[in-house]
Amino acid sequence: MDLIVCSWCQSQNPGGTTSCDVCGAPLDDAVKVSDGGWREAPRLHDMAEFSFGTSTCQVEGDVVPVAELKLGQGDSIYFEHHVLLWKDEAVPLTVMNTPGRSLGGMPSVVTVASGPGRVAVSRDAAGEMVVLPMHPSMEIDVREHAFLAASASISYSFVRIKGLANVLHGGNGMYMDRFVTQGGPGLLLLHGNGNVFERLLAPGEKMLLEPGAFLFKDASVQMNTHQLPVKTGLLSRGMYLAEMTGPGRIGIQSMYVHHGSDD
Amino acid sequence: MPGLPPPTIPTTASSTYLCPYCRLQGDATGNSCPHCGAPVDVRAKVSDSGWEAQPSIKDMARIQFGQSSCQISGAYVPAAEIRLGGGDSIYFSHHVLLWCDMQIQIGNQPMQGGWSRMMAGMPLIMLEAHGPGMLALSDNHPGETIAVPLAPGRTIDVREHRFVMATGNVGYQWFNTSVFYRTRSGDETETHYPAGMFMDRFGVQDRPGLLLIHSPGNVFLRDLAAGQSTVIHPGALVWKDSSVQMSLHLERPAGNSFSRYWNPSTPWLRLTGPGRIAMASVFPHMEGTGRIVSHSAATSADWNQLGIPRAQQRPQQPSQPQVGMQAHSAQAPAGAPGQTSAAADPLVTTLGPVLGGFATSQGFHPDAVAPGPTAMFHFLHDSGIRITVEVAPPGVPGLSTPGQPVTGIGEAAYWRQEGSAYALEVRQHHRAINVHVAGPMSPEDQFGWARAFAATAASCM
Amino acid sequence: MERIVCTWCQGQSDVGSRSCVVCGAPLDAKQLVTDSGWREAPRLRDMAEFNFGASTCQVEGEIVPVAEMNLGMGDSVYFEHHVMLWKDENVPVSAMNTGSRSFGGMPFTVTVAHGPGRVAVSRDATGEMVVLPLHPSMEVDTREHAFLAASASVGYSFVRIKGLSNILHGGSGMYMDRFVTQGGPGLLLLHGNGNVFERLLAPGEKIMVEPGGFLYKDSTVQMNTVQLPVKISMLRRSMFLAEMVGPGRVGIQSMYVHHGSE
Repeated sequence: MDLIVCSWCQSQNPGGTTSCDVCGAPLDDAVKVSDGGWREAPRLHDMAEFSFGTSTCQVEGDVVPVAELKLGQGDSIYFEHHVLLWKDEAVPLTVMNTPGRSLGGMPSVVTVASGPGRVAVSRDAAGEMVVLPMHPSMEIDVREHAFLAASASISYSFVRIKGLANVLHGGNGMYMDRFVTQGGPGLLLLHGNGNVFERLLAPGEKMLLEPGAFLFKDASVQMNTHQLPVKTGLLSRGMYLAEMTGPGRIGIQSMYVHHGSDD
Repeated sequence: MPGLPPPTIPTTASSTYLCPYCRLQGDATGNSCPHCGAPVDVRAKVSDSGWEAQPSIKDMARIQFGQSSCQISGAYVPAAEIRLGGGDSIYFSHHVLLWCDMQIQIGNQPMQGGWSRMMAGMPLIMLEAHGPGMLALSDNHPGETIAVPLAPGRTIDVREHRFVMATGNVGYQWFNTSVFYRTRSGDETETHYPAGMFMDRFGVQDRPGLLLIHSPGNVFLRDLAAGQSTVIHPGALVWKDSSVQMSLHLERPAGNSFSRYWNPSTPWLRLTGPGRIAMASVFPHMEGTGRIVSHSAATSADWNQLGIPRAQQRPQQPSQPQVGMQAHSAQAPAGAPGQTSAAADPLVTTLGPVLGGFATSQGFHPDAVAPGPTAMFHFLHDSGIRITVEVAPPGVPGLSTPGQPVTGIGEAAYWRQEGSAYALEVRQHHRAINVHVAGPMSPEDQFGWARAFAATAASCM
Repeated sequence: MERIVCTWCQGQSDVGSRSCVVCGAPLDAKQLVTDSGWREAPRLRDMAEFNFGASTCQVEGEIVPVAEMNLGMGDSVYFEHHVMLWKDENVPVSAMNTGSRSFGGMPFTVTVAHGPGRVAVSRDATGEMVVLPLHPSMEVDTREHAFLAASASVGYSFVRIKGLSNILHGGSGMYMDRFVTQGGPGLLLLHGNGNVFERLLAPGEKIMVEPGGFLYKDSTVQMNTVQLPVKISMLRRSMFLAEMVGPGRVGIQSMYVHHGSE
């Protein structure tokens, strides 16, 4: 039987499928790659559906998309509590404790919804939903607050960023979320503001990013601070960019709050 | 006119593509204009009133400038990826940089007077990038990124904070808009600049240049004929040709004397042609506290005095004039021999006050006319423009031979030349009207006026 | 003559029409319904046009749509003062007094525009325009500030929400707008942030909705506050959701400011 390989997540789908069963990306659209080598995160067909574990996820809307998850028995997902849009009355919610970390002075609380039943999540900003199916033994770092939802098979931690690298997250935080799979696969949903682009860096290949635009990266990609010798304000002495060094994928968002200079 | 071919009636067929959005000729072999990125294969989307939607630049479309190219990617918050050739440079505000490669040279642009202006309390500092190399820029609002190619001699004025980047040869100035009003609430007096305190002016001397603008929401374009004016929400203006003049129009809604707090006058921005204007569908709210105590030059309208037309049971009744004047009809008063059928035409009685109100707001006066077989409304402008709106009697589907088709108005519309004058015919719901324009102006302006009057008339047909 | 029935508003259009003459929804696009039964508000085609009374409305733009209304003689529409984008200079406007309600400390002012002539309105946020043609004797409740414009045949009032249910409107207000038709039909335009979805609840059917996601409902739908025993921060012991109980339609928006934990 003919198989179609998804150009976004490399999964194989039976011939005749219009969207990838693993990440929802359209299989009938050519991947859009810019002259500079960035490929656009796939714009999911409205109502595209894909599966993970014994559950399915349907993505609805194209301005501020909603992920509607139908959880199978025994499956669960977690998310920051304020992204919940609606749920079946019978779906239980519990709290995952994330000790030590606080969010705007308050402990950050991650909510877990357990199957069977339906729950829907969305972010409060215009942008794209990025579906990142994770193979076993993968590690992805994500900008703080970009995380929308993850399946329970993915473990969640966070990295505290010290010293100069704080500038890379501007005034709004010192953490980067880290998602890790062990033996099994998992599903990670991110929200990017505006449009999302991704590129693969070869080993040693470098690229400078506006820190606010950083969305996600493979843990293998190094992230350092790079100072440009330009004046951006009366008091500031330089402009900071994030220098990303391969190997691995990096993802950026086109809408961000500028935090790169200390003025 | 955007997307509308009519003014070029005597044109010879050309193999190159004339982009209706930037008015430059280019090679039409691609699917987007090489100068401004506008798609070439879309039908112009013109609203019934004549605003034309600026088409989104197609994902991955390329724009050429000098030895460089710019590629727009993404749909909601598009990123502009720029590949700069060896001798080329651009300048941009530092907060729009998205990414760059390691080759590109980025530095401060030498501070030339202009950039020392304070924007939102912070100095506006520009960065300059020199090729060869690549970089990408993006703004922070869902909306449209617009490329405006500048031909030598053309200058445009852009609202504050909308500028993304310009090629190195584009000259920059800023000016005070001088459009303001002051409100007083208690002891506090506040000055408001509804179109921004400053506007940025861009132009080129000898070589063509490119300007990228980003506007939140959707963008709509309109061309104003010389002397023609329109009123829009002051916050919605994105850019305009420098030839377009701005002033305030203060409007007082009827029946709001109850409010001690709410500003009884709505400030509008009046834009007067000739030239093109661009308006966004997202705009900031205007502060509503206090009464306007002083303002820059303004026209005004008070609907407490002008009155509101009442709903009518029978459309045959003549409606009340709205703006204190009534258009003249070619008809003698009802009852005069031979005129009864036209005088009883409900379209003619509805058109009178509607056209009259529109014409007055545009600075026209009703003109004396001789009686004729069809209903005629004549209007004369101080500058010598003469407009005649001719109404075909009921049952007559068209007044003349069709000319060049015009989209976006009525069910069908035709533009044709009549000696040195032009006429625009509109057909809708089995009725037809013909707008004749004559006077000392260009065919573009003649078309602009004809379209404005025809759109007003079509709203009654 | 054969007619096409619009899946969104049940209005009838002539065969061959591309968009519904009553609400502007595309007639040749399939209605999108999620597996759980939410249907997506139709995405109006750029320049789609529909009728109400002696007037027409044309919707332009797709990121932040503009509604351009061509009012017939005798027709009028009303809207919050600040949504007006442009109008014909000779279109008269008047103010509708809404009595004791205030908006950010100022009297809440509704502006009425009178035909004949054109007026255009738009909201200052990314989202969808929702066209709700109202049949006679209908009653629809909408989230505060979601209202874009309504025809004069639609009666307007507002409901003050007291006590605990304030939470449902977060910090942003205590009112819900109520739109009522009497003998004749009317047109109601709403603006939803992000995407908009609607679902019909059977009598007694329940769904829990994040309060900020609520956009509109038939007045037959009951809205209650439900406290979930989930600790969401150091000081907040619980999370509030809105429980919607049928029968009737419920509309939600996908982008909202979260207020459930006040």
